[in-house]
This record gives sequence, C-alpha cells and structure tokens, in this order.
Amino acid sequence: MTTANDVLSALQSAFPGAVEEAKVSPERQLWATIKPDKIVDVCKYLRDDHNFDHYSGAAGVDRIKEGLFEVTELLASHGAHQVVALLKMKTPRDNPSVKSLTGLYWNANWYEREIWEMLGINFEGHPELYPLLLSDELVGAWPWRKDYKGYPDYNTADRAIEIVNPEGYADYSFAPTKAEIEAGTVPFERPKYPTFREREEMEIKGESEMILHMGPQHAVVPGPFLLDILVDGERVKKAFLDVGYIHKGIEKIMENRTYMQGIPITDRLCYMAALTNNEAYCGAVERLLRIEAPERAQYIRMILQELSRIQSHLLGTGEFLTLIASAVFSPFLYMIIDREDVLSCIESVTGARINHSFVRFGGVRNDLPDGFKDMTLDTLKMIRKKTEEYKELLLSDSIYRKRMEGVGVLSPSEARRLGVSGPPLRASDTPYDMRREDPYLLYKDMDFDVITRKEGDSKARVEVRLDEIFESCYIIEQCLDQIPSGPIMAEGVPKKIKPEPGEAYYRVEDHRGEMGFFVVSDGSEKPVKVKARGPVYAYFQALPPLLEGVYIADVVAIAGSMDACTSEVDR
Amino acid sequence: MVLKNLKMTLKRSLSGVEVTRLYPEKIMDLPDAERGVHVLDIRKCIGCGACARICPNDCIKLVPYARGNPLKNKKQQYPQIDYGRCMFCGLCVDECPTSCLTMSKVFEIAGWNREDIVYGPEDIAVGFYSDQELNELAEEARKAEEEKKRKAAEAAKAKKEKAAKAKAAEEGEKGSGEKAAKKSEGETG
Amino acid sequence: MVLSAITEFAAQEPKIYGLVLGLVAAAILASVINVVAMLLVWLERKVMGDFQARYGPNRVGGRWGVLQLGADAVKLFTKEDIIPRGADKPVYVWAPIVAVATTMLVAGALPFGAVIIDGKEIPLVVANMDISAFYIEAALSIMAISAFMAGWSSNNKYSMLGAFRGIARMIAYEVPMGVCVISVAIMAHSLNVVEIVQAQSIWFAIAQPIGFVIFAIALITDLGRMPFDQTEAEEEIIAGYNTEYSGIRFGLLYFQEYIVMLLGSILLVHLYLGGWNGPVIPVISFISPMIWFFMKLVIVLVGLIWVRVSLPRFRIDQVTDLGWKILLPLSMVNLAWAVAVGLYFA
Repeated sequence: MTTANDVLSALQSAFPGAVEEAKVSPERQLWATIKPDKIVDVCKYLRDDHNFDHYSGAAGVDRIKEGLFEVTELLASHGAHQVVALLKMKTPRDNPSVKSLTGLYWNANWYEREIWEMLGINFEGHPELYPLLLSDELVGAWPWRKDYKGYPDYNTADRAIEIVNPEGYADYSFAPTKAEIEAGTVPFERPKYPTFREREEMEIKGESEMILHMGPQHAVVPGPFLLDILVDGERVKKAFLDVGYIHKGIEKIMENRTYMQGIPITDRLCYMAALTNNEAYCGAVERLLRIEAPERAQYIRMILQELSRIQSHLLGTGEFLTLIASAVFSPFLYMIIDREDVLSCIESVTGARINHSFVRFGGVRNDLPDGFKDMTLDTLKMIRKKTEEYKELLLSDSIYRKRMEGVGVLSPSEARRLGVSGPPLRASDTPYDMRREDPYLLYKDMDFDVITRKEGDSKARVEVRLDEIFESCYIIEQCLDQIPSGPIMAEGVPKKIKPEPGEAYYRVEDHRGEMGFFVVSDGSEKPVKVKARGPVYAYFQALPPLLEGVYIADVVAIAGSMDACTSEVDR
Repeated sequence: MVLKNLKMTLKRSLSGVEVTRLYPEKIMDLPDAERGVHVLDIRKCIGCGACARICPNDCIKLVPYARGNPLKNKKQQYPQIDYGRCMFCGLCVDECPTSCLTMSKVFEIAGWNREDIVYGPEDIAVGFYSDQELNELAEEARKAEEEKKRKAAEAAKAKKEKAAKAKAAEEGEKGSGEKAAKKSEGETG
Repeated sequence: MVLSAITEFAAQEPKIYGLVLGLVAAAILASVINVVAMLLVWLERKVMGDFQARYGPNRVGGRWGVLQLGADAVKLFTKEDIIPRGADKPVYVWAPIVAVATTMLVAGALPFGAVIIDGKEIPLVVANMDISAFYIEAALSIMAISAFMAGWSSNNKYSMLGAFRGIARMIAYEVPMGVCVISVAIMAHSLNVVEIVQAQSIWFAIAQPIGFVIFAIALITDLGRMPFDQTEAEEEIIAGYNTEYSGIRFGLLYFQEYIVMLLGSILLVHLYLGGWNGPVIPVISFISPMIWFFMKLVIVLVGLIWVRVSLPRFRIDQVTDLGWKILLPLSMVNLAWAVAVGLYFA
C-alpha cells in the first residue's frame, strides 16, 4: 500500500524544486505547497503514476495580513490507496491567478467557478468561468475577501427602475446612489459574460424545441434549483442546471463566529444529516486542538450517526417514490411512519428532531438516557422487518421496474470521472466508503459490508440505500453491545477554544456521500476559513450529462434517485 | 406483478390503526432531554453574562429584575431571551457556570407581535422571590444592618472605654492623688 | 288539484309537456349529480386516509368531516378569477363548461338503478335510448376535447404537454373500450343499457373475463386516474391542463373528473356486474334493486381508490404501448370469444 511518505518522496524526486514545504500529518494526509506554475504537471503525474483519480474539491483562503491568496486542491484515490494529497498554491493578492485543472479532472469545473466568483482568483484555461452561487449584481464584488465592505442596500423601492424586456415581462433594476459609489461598496467594474438565459438560448436549434423549466418554483423538487431542459416533443436534448437560490453564506458566517458558536450553524448545512455535519466540523477542530474524544463518546457518536443514516435513507427513498408516483403513494407514508420511531430514539438523547448541535469538541453534549438500549433494539427490529417488506415490494412491482430499470445508467468509469460519491458511486460497482477508506471514530473495529451493485441505474441506487439500512442496524447493535461506561467529554478541553495556527481536513461518510471539512486557524478565537465540501455538489454537477436523451418523466426519476439536498450545495 | 402493492395497502387499511395524533387535544410525550423554552433558577443566577456571550444569534440581553436576589448586588442583571431569534441550540445552557439556565419541554410560544415573544426574566424565572419573602429579606437585611451598627458602636465604645481606662491608669500613677483629690473635691463639692 | 291540472295540460299539449318534463328532469339530474360528486370526493379522501393509516377530513362538520367539501367549494367560489395574459380567451373560458356539459350528456342516458312498483321493474333513466351503451361510451371520449381546449388555450408549456398526452392516451384507449362494449352487446343482443342489464342472468364479468379486465383498465385510463394520470402528473408538468385555472373554473374541471369517475363506474357495473340485478329483499322490495346497485357501485369506487393509492405511475410511452400492443389484440380475442359464445347459446 502506498503511504503518504512514499508519494512525497516520489514527488520530490520527479519534480525537484516544485515542492516548497511538505508535511505528513496525520498519517494519511500529505500537505504540500507547490509552485503555481508547476501544479498542472504535478497533478498529471499524481493522476497517471500514483492513481490519484478522485478530485475532491478546492478551497480558497484569503490571507490578508500576508497579502496572499492560497488555493488548496484536494486529491484522493478511488480505492487504490488511502492517501489524500492537499496541494496548496500561493498567489499574490493584487493579481491573483492560478492554472485550472479542468483539463485533467472534469469535476474541477464548479469548485473553481465558486472560488473565482467569491474571491476573484482567475483560473487560466477554465472553459466557462461564469457565476454559480451569486446573482448577477454581486459578481465583481468578491464577497469572501476579508476587506469586503458589505452588500449595498437595495431596500428602497422607489429607486427601482422598471424595464420591460422584449417578451413583455417587467424587470426591475436598482441604480446605486452616489454615497454608495463613494463608499466603495458598489463594484462598478463587472466582468463581462453571457447570462444564463443567453447561454441557454444559444443551444436552441430547431423550430419544435422549447425550454421547459423544472425550475426553482416547482411542485416537488427537493429544494430550489434551476433545471431547464431543452425538449423536442417528449425527449430531452440538453439540460442546464443553476444553483445558488438558497445561498446563505454559511462559510462567511462561520468566519465571524467563534468555534463553539459555529456548531449550530453546521447543523443547517444539510438538515437531514445534521449529526454527520457536526462530526466533520468537530473532528477537524479536534485535529487542530490535538485532543481525542473518550471511547464512550465515540460510541455514542457512532450510534447516533447510524440512526441518522437510517432515517435519512427512509426519507430519501420515500421522497423519491413520490416523484415517480404521486404524493399519495402509500409506501412513502409508511416509510415516514417508521421514521418517526427512529427520530424518537434520537430525540431522547439529543433533545431535538433535526437540528441537533450535539457533538462537541472532545465529546458529546448528553449521555444516553436510561432505557435507550431497549427502545433502540425494539425500533431496529421493526425497521428491519419493514425494510425487508419495502425491498420486496420494489423488486416485485412491475410498473416500478419498468420506470427504473435501465434509466440513468452510470457506468463505473463515468461515475468516477463525474466525481460522484456515496450511494450512486457504490451502485456503479465501486466500493468507496469513507468508513473504510479513512476510518474515523471506531469504525475500524466494526464489522460491516460496503454495499455495491453492478448495474448503475436508478433502481440500483435505491437498492443500495435500502441495503445500507440493514448494515446500519447491524453496526448499531454491535455498538450497543460494546459500549463501555466512562466520561463523555475529554479532559483538558480549554474553556476558550483557540487552536494553534494550522489547517485540518476531516472526512466523514455522510448519508449522501463523502463530506469533508477544511478548517484553517491562525491562533485567534475565530477561524480564518471553514470550507464544507459536500457530496451533493458533485451530484448536481454530474446531472446535466446524465439527462441527455431521456424522456421528461425520466428526468425526475434520475434526479430523485440521486437523493439531493439542495441546502448543502448552496451552503 | 402489482399485487404486492395492493396487498400492502389492504393490510394496512384492515388493521385499522391510525397514526395521526389529534394535536391540540393530545400532545406527545417529550423526552427529558428536550430543548424547549428556557427556565431560569433565579436564586442561583450570578449575572455573569456567559449565556449572552455564547449565543450565536445574539438573542440574550441582560436586564435588571426587581425580584432577583436583592441582598447580593443591587445592580445585578438577569437574562432576557428573544424567542423570535432563538434557535434552541442549547449552547447557553452548556455555558452557564452555575447551571441555573435549563430548558423545559414547553414549545408553544406564539404571540401576536414581535414584542410578545421576548421573554424577560419575569416570564422564564422560577424560584423568584415573592413580596412576603422580599419583605422578610429586607427586614432581615435591616436587622442585620442595625445589629452590625450596634455591634460597631459597642465595639467603638468598648475601645474608647479601654483607651480611657488605660489613660486613666497611666495618669493615675502619675497624679493619682491629684485626680483623687479632684475627684473627691468633685464629689464633696 | 294540481295533479289534475297537470294531466290535463299533458293531454292537451303533449309536445310542450314532454319538453318541460325533460327540462325539469335534466335540472334535477344536474344538481343531484354535482352533490353526489361532492360526496364522492369526500369518500375518496376518507378511504385514501384509511389506506394510509391516517384520518381523512375530521374537523369540518363533526367527526366525519362531511362538510369539508362544502367548505372547499366556498373557498373556490371566492377566489380571484385570473385569465393569463396571452391565453386564448373564448376557448379558455369555454373549456370547463364543455367539460361539465359532456357529463350531463352522458348522465342523461345512463340509468341510475331501478325501483319495483307493482312487481314491475322501472329503470330510473332520463332518456331511454336504443343505442345507449355505444352513445355513452362515445360521449365519454369528448372529455379529451375539453382537456385539449383547456391545455392549448392556457399559453403554458406544461398545459400543452398535458393536453398532448391526454389526446394520445384517449386515441390509444378508445378502440379497445369500444370493442369491449360491442362484445357485451353481442352477448346481450342489444345496445340498450337497460336491456343489457336485464339480459345478465350470469354476470358478463364471468362470461367474458378478458373483456372485464380490459374494460376496467381502459376505464381507469380514460378517467385519468392512477396509474395512468400522466396528463396531470404533479412531478413533471405541475398540474397538466389544470395549471392555469383557479377559482371556480378549476372547481368545475376538478369536479368533472369525479363526476366522470362516478358515471364510468356506473357503466362498468351495468355492463359487467349485473347492474341492479339481485334477489329481491322481501320487506323493502320497493328499493331493493337500488340497494344492490349501490353496493356494487361502492365496491367499484373503493376499488378505484385502492388502485390509486397503491400503484406508481407509468410513463406516457409505456401507456400508449400498453394500449396499442396489448389491450387491442386482447380485445379482438375477446370479441371472437363473445361471438363464439353468443352463437353457441343462440
């Protein structure tokens, strides 16, 4: 098995002088600072010779005191080895520009677009550097810079100027006042690019083609995102996707809160998966503080995260079933009824049903109450029985199989290229699970299987989720057997959390895939940068190529089988 | 082929169990760890403000409250929580050094306008001092004050007497006869 | 006094009397049908709730929630009347009216049970036509035209897609349905629904089982119920041809669906399940056929609701595949069977 040290030495011998600083900590993560002009060659070498074929994400950090921007690229591998390479590039603040990796990795596209629109770093060679999360008025203001002066006040209605566009619909624009221009809060130099609508309309080629919006205001999409499909009759020719409708600015909010105050905010990244979000953030900060939670706390965290996984899969599958049937489809309601019991188990420990804020640095907030073990074991017995029924139902229902078999097929190489992770990747015959690749908590002592399927169509994705419920039940039973008594909070956790300057990256197996938190600290009580790398971001990026050539009714079948949660994409 | 579907719904319908809880008439059993509206034990609160500092949304302000503990500090302030902003995260409960702030199981806090759902210490406090207790405490305080004054006065008088005695003893050695003569003069005269 | 005046008037001017009688019967029929459709919506909501382990409406009008539909109707009446900019106004306004008028056309010729007076069975029907089975089945297919009017005139991509799907579905399923009706008529030697019911010594569902299944499936498709409700699939095309309608126009389209469900189920009961046939109950022999009729009707309606709640939805190309490639050949087989059996027993 390749280790990080091997990779480092190979890299240093292949590219002498390109590596400025390097560090291996903890044992599987390689942190290296690379010269900006050599980055494409280094990544190509890593991808071709050392199997780093998974581009995990990129983060941009604004170091205003040193006058630099740093861009960190995260590279990993789909099972060949367990090393994660975090390659950092520094670029001056006056004219920031780095090379783009879209030539090597297809899914680097959206990560670089986001860093461009938020920090203003130019990516040379990027094919479509257009805004993703921001609206058109804010592009050019570079909101995530530390010297950003704030969103101009557009609240005054009498400043609105009405423009009637050629189709007859009224649009409003707000001209900035003189005071705002003088204060410097309005970017009057905006980059030029074709708007989303113009880019769509460039693709219409025939008389009978039209653009159909399954757009932000739709009856049953899970969360607002813009999905426009170019249809010819009932067949889809091309799909366009735009996100950013619920961008809450969580990462910038967390830069202005202390570490402890950031825990409830990470809950709200994806409210269905609040516990794993908490875990990822607390794990990263624990690495910075160099403390470790005691054993009982780790078992409690595992139990609750697996319970949360069960309820999220039940809801995800149920919601997906309403997309191919109507909302009155009974098995959806039965799944919701079963989920209530699981939520009661979680609620008896944490005190809330969705926004838990339960994991703390060095432990957990509450201990398990009395009678928890019996209640949970009863619930798990019921869940096992019911899930067996649902699996049989979905296997034997011929209408369901006609709708789902062979729809939205992702071949294994395609799935890896598009960068998806989680159940869709595992349904395409790739056993990539963070609980085995990057074992955190006590998963290395647990006995469970990583569920895969060979077909890669929508039916396989749903089956993987239902099978994972059984594995989660098994893990919880093992934990309840083995849990020791003891403290739930580590000793020596400081009252005021001020980690030493440094960076940490922590990955967990979220219910939807690989979630990672990248935390940068500089010794003060607020973090310099927190980046949440969510799994659904990759799903949405991968959706438009999947939707070409299918029927309209299949669009919802495919999008639903991915089990998206838009809140996590937009952060 | 689709018969399993039909069988499943038929079975559920024939079992006759309805899971809907008819809400205002029946409220569900909440666990003890439930995070609802706060409860402040006013006899333990020391007015440190840790809860206000940790709140991520700035919901907690410290305000004066007449029925707090008047003996300790007349200027002590107690937390007032704005439930329009509170997200029930529980960080304030964790930070409190005296564990006087806890969360109850109450979750129905609707009001008619925004000022109605700002709960001051009078709304969330338990263990506040009633009028009688306040009077008793004031009485006790006054008595204690008087006692102290009296003791201080006595101590001062005792000290003065002792000093006077010492001085008299001193002078008595020197001119005790004078004094005694003066005294006897004073007595007879 | 009044009765003698009316009989005198009837004798003097028979044509005007017939006209007035027809109009009065039609008015009564229209109102009764609408109220019964409201009850049908209530029944559906309650039964759906029962299948899904919940209560249906249970607050408005007592514990059973019977006045819920009244409240919904009041709400629909008081909504704002919106006509989208760019919509084809006359067609947009006439589409719901055509929809409900079609149902009145059908209801005029459909018998609603029978009563026994002096030992003779009198069917309750407004217009007793000789070709009523065929006429009803044809009139049911005019629904597609009103759906198309609604969808096309709304100036909305989703409505247009819904309208196209509705037309494709109607074309595919009218032929098997018509062939089934003819097979029944061959066995009963008449196209009049009353006579078909009276000719069912054994139910035609047992005599022509394939025909029963085909007719049932084609009926569910024509009504636009699950699993065949692609024209109003909420997930893909919002509400199909209903998208731009609000207020009482939407109320008319919505109730039309349920009225047609009622009438289609009545047709199924008459053609295949023996209508109002059944042993005469001794004490209440006056309305004994009505009781049998209602029991069968309620079973068919609950069956329709049961199917709606349990099955997912087909894709539109799978629906037309089913119609042209499976149901049509099977209905031809059924026709041959009916001819053979009819000849055998004749």
